[in-house]
Amino acid sequence: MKKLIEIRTPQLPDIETCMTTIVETKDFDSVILEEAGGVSAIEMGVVLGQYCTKEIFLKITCRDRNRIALHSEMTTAAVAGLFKVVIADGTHPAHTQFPAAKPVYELDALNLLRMIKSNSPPFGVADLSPLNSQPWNIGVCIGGLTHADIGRARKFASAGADMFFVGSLAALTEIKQLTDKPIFLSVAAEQTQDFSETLREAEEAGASGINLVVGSNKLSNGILR
Amino acid sequence: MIISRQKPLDEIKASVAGYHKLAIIGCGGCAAVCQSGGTKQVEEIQKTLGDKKVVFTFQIDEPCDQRILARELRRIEKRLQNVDAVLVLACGTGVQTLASSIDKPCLTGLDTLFPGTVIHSTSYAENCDACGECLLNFTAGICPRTNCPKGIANGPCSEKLDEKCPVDPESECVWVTIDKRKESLTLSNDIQEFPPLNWERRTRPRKTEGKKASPRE
Repeated sequence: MKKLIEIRTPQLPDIETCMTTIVETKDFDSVILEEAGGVSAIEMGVVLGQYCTKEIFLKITCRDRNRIALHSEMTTAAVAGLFKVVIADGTHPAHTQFPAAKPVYELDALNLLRMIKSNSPPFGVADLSPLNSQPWNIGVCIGGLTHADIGRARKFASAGADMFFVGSLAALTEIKQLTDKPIFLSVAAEQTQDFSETLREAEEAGASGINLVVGSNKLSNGILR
Repeated sequence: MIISRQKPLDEIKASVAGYHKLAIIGCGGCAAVCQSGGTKQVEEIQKTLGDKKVVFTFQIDEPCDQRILARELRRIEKRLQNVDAVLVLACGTGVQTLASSIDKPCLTGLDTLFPGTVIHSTSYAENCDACGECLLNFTAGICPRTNCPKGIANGPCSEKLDEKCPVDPESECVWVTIDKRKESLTLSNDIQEFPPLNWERRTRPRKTEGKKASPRE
């Protein structure tokens, strides 16, 4: 079972600690990089790729970019060889270190997935074929388990999502009935007492992997322990 | 209803600091209902501006309607000549409509908040963002674009974990509310998919022309 760790890219003073921790840890096969006021996730992904063999995912949210910026972001990621992307609507600015920032959400995650998958506007892939760019591998996030959440998951599946990240074991069971694509269980690092036990439960429930979400810009060995 | 509230008194005083003779004009429509620009609030502001000479106060039913405004302005035309500036207790639309109709500096005493529902005196709720692409026929009469803090038009957001809104955990997720209402009204619970808003249509300032607003293409 795949083990992923999701982090927010660090602020400048914390880059070295963060990068070293990711490179040195043997507990995770993959890292998901989300930008939330820290350094560029694409840039960090490129540098990490030079120092370790871990699979790099970008997490791109609709919170702070309109469709023009998202298009640039995706195209740049493709150029950088980062074609594994997790898309989400994103934590509201009110719950970030920039609470007064304007929430954008011009597209929602479903709109973004549709645009990427229909290549409209061209999200890099066609234009980058001479560079042997790989097809996008897009993951989506389903938080809850209500009828509305499952309805959205169904729409994600029909829009061509390549993988699903869910917030609970119960949701995992539900989503499994909708798709045969990989499903990862996302768990908050701060709320996880016994990671190996959670890992076992996820495996038993049929998850393709587990994603440990670190809800801060700071990553150190302490968190991983 | 356009919901408004009075600016902090210090800010109002600072805005009129450079003028001596003032007129204070209130709005008898929305601002009166909001108790931010009615007759009583005009009187209260007049009292707090003790060092100013308030030449006259006046109430216009709907200063945002140029037809009403033109008629009312004829009644105060002469008195307006004697003031240095006009302090307007109306929403931004009312202030600007008035400002474009007279040759005096117009200052606002209010902050305009949102178009909303009056729940009861001093309690108001936003529920329409005037996006120009109304979804209400598909969402059981509840606007997700306005009632979801993220304005997500396609189902609950990625960050919702239970039935509550992740931005305001005291509130139910609007998509859960929509679902429940659809169920209680036995409406089709097929979840629709909506394209993103077309901002080209929302290029500001928006206006409609002709006999009536023509349907969207």
